[in-house]
Amino acid sequence: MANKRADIVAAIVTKLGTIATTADYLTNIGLKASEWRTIPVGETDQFLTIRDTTDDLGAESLHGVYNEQIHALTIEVHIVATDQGTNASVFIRKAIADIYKAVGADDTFGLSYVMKTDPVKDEFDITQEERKAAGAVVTLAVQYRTTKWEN
Amino acid sequence: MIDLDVDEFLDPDLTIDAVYTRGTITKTIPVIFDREYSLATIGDVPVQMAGPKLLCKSADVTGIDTTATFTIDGVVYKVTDPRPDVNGFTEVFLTRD
Repeated sequence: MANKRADIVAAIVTKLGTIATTADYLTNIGLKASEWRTIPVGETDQFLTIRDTTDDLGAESLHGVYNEQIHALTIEVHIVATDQGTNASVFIRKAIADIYKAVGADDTFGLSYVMKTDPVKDEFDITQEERKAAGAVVTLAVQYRTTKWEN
Repeated sequence: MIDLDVDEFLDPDLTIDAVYTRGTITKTIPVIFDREYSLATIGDVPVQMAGPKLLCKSADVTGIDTTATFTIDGVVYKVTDPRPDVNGFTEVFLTRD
């Protein structure tokens, strides 16, 4: 049985997985795209991982349609790069731009029940020991509809 | 302050040679080198990070600052945080980037 939330996450991973310089993006951050990665990043690596952290459910009758539920699914796209050296901050800014570009190309991800996706915010982080490690969290809100009690 | 013989503490069995460079000064000095791993986070994603640091004789690195470098096993490390103590040692935190 299909699960819309799972299908949305899979579609986002697939879409962001297309981010590569050969596809006219600024970085190759999509080459290692996954969901809910928890394995520590190595010393010279880069990847993005997606987390569907919160699903805010609208009132059933919000749009006057009985038995319909509108969801606002919060998607966090975590980008981390430890292989960019002194270029780390520039790289992360480009990777953020690539994510917005990829999502903006089709903010329904080709799924009929997705109404739209909105950019919410991005947060930048950087730390340094032997290497610079830089990253960002890009937060998106995906609106989609289901029947009541469906996810 | 502890009464330590700095040269005795930096025993050749415990140290390795590092090339210290600052401005026009370049010299090979004995250091105790460490590269301990720790787990940092970026956002809340765990990241493995090595934290290289060394201990050396303060008299060998007089005037050390963040323009200085150490070359150890062919790797050039930049000085990020030199910490001289009152016993004649300097602990130096390092980075490659």
